[in-house]
Amino acid sequence: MPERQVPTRADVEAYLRQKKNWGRWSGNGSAGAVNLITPEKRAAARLVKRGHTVSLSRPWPVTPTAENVRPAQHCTYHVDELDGDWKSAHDYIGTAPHGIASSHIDALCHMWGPDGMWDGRDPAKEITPYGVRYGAVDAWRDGIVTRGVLLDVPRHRRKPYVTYDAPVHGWELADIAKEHGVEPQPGDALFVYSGREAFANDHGGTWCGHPTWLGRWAGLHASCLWFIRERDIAVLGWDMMDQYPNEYCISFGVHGALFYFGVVLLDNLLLEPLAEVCVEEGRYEFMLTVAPLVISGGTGSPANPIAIS
Amino acid sequence: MAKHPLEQAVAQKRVPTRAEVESYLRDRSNWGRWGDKGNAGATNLITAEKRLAAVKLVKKARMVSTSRHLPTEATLENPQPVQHYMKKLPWIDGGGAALDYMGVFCHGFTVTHIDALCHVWDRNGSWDGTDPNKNIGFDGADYGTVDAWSDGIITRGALLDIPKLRGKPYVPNGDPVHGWELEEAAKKQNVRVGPGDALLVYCGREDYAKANNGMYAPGQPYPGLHASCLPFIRENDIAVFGGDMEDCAPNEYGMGFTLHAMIFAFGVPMLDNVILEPLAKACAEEGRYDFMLTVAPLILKRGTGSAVNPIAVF
Repeated sequence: MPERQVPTRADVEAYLRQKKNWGRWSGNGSAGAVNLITPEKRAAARLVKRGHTVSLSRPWPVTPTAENVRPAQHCTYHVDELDGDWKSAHDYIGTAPHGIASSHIDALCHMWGPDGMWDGRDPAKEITPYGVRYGAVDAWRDGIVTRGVLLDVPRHRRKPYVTYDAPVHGWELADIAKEHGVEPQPGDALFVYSGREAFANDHGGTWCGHPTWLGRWAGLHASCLWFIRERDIAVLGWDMMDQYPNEYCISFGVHGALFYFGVVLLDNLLLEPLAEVCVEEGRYEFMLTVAPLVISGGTGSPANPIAIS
Repeated sequence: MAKHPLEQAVAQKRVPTRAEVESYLRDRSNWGRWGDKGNAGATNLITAEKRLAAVKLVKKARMVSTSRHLPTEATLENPQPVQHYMKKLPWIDGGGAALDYMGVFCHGFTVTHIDALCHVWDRNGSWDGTDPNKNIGFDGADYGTVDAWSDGIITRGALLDIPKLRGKPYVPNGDPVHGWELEEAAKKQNVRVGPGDALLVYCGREDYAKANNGMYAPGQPYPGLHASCLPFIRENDIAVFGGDMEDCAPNEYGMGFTLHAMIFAFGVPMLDNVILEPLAKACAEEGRYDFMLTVAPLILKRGTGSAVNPIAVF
């Protein structure tokens, strides 16, 4: 891709095909780019200076809104089955975590493109009514711990949020990293903060602003794929996701990193509190922990990633 | 402070009376101890210094999950199985997506979960002196809720291995784990337990289940820990407790909750149905019984608990 020039659709497709990580981690392919997180890398513990923790998750999204048309369920009920004076209260929770409302982790099997699923697998074979057989979320059952790096786009642009007309480009991520004095490295978890809360405040309380999936929303441009792959990022977390629709009329942009590169995606995060911590501490790196629920054959899981600084 | 009769009983390795257990829960209650931060209960003992010390325990970054697979199969111990349904969507250009729905009854005997402080109570009330009839509605609770831990729980974890202490594969019915055994296990394993720690007690549930039709608690009786373990939790100011087995049931006192009383009396959240066999193996291999423990409950506003995947890091 020429320097600071928006790539063509052919550029994007060719890049994904040429740089795909299919077969790279044979033997443990189901875990994808998490294989880049070596024990040395997990020594992210040295980044912890204050002992402060901050959640990167939104609250469980039970309220119906234009961007939460199938809200998560949560109800509480008393159980009186015990004899005597001892009682208890219980919860049921239900969720279809994908979409644009719930903070969740995408398993590598969650999406695929014309060339197939992650690692070259065939969706017709791997996806069964009882769960997915390859690249499922329980590949990460022992959790993910690595160095996390935050890039703060509103701070860089001196604007409260990213708009549809000005998506975040890959070279901009490089500029921001330089500005923050932080260099994303292989095995890192990269977080891109785009100001989703401030955007929602100005747009009727939602980021996508339309009652169906087919709206338009601001976010990251496919040119970010270069930034992610060149640095061998293992995990990408974001508050806004791919700008949609895009000029290429392809159904995925940066989500291509999931099935071509094996990069873990943490969707719909709440990054405003983390951005505040980074400003306060004057540094943009921290220890990240993610512990997906252990769902055999699942395509994802609600998750509450925690940054420790 | 003079030793409470329950502590004396444990020191003498004597099984305490019901009156001793009940008076201990009243006399050593933590109600009011953390003032306006009471919602988080004993996790107030986990200070920034405590977290920093926990992080320093990470040497090799070996990670061990303590969560079971979410159980979708109906059994007598899993009468409300986890729902997990798949959907496949074609997209333009030959692409597609697979999505799922999951529904979880967070409590019970099969899902690995954290109990919030509002979850259980006795006739004296719920955690911090709240009235459960006022505190809890169908939309959740006002106080002692799981979102107190939205920013996660990171602390030092310590594992006590009872099968190793006893030289038997599992804790059976009729022979519950007593408080003095926790002290003996800590001593034998050369691991100290102190304020703000997460205490995990391994009882060999997997081996017990193998010998009992694959189940631990298809109904009573089921083995586990005895009420005499309460002083070990309270005197050491444990912040979080996790067990693969629960309070043994029935108990000789006719009490509904014995160990679970730590939730409403001491403000200690419990990690129920953790799987500790892999962690016990890892501890034996590493030659140490402490590690960093991370717990990240889902942010369920007003929730009584959450399915979790607590991770131990060596």
